[in-house]
Amino acid sequence: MEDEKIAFVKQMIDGDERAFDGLYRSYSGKLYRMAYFITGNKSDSEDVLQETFVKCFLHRKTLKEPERFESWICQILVRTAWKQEKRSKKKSEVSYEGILELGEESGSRAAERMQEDVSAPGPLDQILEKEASSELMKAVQGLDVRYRTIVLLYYYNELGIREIAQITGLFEGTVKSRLSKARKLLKSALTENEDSPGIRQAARA
Amino acid sequence: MGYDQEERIKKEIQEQLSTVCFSEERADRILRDVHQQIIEEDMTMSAPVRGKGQSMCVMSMRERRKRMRYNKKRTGLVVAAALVVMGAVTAVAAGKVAYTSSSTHLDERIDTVAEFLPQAKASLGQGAKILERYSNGSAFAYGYLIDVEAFDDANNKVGSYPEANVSYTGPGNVNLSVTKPLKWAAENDHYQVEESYKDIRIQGKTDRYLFLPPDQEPSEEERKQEAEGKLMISYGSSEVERKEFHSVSWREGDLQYLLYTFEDVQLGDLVAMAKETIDHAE
Repeated sequence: MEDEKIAFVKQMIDGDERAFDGLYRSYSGKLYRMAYFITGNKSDSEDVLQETFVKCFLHRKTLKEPERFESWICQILVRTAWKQEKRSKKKSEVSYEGILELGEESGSRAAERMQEDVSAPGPLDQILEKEASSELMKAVQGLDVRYRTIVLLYYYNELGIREIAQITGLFEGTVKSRLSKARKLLKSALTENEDSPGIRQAARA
Repeated sequence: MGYDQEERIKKEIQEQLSTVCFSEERADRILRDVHQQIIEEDMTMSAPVRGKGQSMCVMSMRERRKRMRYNKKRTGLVVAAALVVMGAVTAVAAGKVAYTSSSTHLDERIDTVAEFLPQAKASLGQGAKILERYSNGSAFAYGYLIDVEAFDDANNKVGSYPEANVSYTGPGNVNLSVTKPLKWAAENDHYQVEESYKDIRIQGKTDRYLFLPPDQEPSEEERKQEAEGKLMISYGSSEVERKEFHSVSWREGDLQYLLYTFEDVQLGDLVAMAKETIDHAE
């Protein structure tokens, strides 16, 4: 973590609201996207982000090591998002509005895009890649929220097993086994799509 | 999984999330809401995670008094929730005991193991094995000394016994309860894990719990499950909550040890912590 940010964190711990606002500006975008990945919709993501920063300020004195701020606020966000997801689940509100749009692009629009750029990866490769990416995101969407969170922290935040365990409050062994299961599922989402009859037909045409 | 596929998954997730729009306008609006909520919450929040003597910059004295009252109420409920479990154990143990009850307050919290150990020894009448840190990273956060009161079916107090209860932070947020019970529990419970370690029998199980507000009744099906021992029902929570309770217990001398958590933890992990506790010198 950069020295400037650590200084902000120290000031925030002392109750400096300007420093708090500065940290919000630095981290809110990434944290919002993380919340979106976990909860699956914009409204819940906004609520989670808001609650995360409220807790961040109110409980700032519990942060003993300012350099661990990122991990600490991720922990708050994850726990808050889990609670939010649980509430939404009761109301069956989980959706991934928008995030699959790219994968669900119509065939004609995809063809137009291919004509625009025929240089790098070939048109068929693009279709295959896009289909696979859609399947991948669908597979992510289908994961239980705790598995999804581990996938997020590993692939998006690029954290190690130990840090993920600290953030999620799970044992390292649990994180490893869940990551392994999630990987298998994501891998099959990638490969199944490549083997699907429709794509093979397109490849032959 | 191949390196290419790993990279592909990473790239895909990162690209997809980079398309999620978070405008400056929306960021500003949320920040305004954050400021507003901080002012409101600071007036009413409970503060189990707020340590003693911390500054409360947005609060007047009147607001502080309001919060102190709220803290006590909340803390009582939290500890009561934990003790419901002991109630279930003791109900079998003492025969006549139908339930147990206790509560404590935030200002009775002990924040260091060095302070906690001698006080626990005085309360329990002997030293207990309480670790400051486990090898899995669980670390002593704070402890309470509790006097548990036992009641019969007619709500008559039939006795009391001491409990030392420690909260650990880290994986699973595990709690350790050390008690000197009135009588030992009859061993007719069904355990999912039973293991002998250094001639000590470690038993572990997972129970389903339903927490209900005081004014709410369980359904007929829930009552049936409770009668069959498949569901533990507890009253006094602020909202309906369903949780799985994982625990391992063992006896050493006159003391009953119980490691427990409502978090998503494997019994095997708790058994490993139990063994580490047994190995620890008092």
